[in-house]
Amino acid sequence: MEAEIIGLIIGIAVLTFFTRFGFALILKKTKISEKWNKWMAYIPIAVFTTIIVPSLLAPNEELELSIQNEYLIAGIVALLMAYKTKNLAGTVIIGISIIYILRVFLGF
Amino acid sequence: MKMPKPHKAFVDGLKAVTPLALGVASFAIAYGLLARKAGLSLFSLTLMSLLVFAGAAQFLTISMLISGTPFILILFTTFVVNSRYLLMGASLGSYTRKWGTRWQILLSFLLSDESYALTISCFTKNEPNKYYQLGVSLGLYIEWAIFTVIGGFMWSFSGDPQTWGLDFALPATFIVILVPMITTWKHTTVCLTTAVLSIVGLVFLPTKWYIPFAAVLGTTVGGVLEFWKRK
Repeated sequence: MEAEIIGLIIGIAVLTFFTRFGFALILKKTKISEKWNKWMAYIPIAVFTTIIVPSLLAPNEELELSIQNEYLIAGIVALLMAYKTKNLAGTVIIGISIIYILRVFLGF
Repeated sequence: MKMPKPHKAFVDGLKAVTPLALGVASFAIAYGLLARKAGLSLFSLTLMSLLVFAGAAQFLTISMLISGTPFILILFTTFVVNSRYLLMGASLGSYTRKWGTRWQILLSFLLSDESYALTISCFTKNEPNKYYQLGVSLGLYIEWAIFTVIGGFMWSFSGDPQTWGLDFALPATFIVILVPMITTWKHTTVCLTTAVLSIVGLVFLPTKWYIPFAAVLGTTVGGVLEFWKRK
């Protein structure tokens, strides 16, 4: 089992490195146009939205648009806090606390 | 702007990590705990943090191991999830390409969502500096490794990380990274369109394909808005 897991880890490591290094390698040889740069300026927003939204609306791989979804509740609070305060530590602590309270005391 | 000295830039990078430290530590502990739950040894889970260094992919791998997913599907899914690094690599590529292959290999290996967010927001305002990016990346790498091990040790007396809500540290961190980025109506449009696209992709596409689907199309929406405005 241990050897198989280590094999899997190395496989994932190689694939992950490839995704990180792929474009760096391609772009080394190519000139980047102004237009391409403007296009790429939207990458951070698109990427982070793609990670966040499904993790709140579908924490278990299926859409859960209900007030029984603790991630959605904590997520909305975190969004409001991030907008108002931009305080990372505070937002993380409040978010985790909300999830903890909902799960442990309210049986979510 | 005056070019800062390598040492100072490196320390600036390390310092930039501190606001993210709590979120990263919580998520690293959650990963360590979950990995032990899945039956991984302390050695394996640490090795994974050192070699893979991708929180979301590592967390996902462990969840798939627990549900007995075949290895080939785990490899494929992590690749799809990590496809976002292709976009990040492209976005940073315009800065990093002049630093030579060795630096590119090193900084690529250390690329993470958090280091990308900090680096790109610094590079769009200041003179890009490889030592700054190294400081940010290495700070996050070391922190991730250490708290992963701590999580692994905590397993024997703490139990399931899900109960503690630690798994929420990752979305919470990303929310605070994302929200300040949105400053114009075009940003808002891209964010909302991508949100809809990610849900459409999640519902209609297999496994994690919604990630490259929504990230690429969402970025393209931004590009189209740019182009359309200038006409």
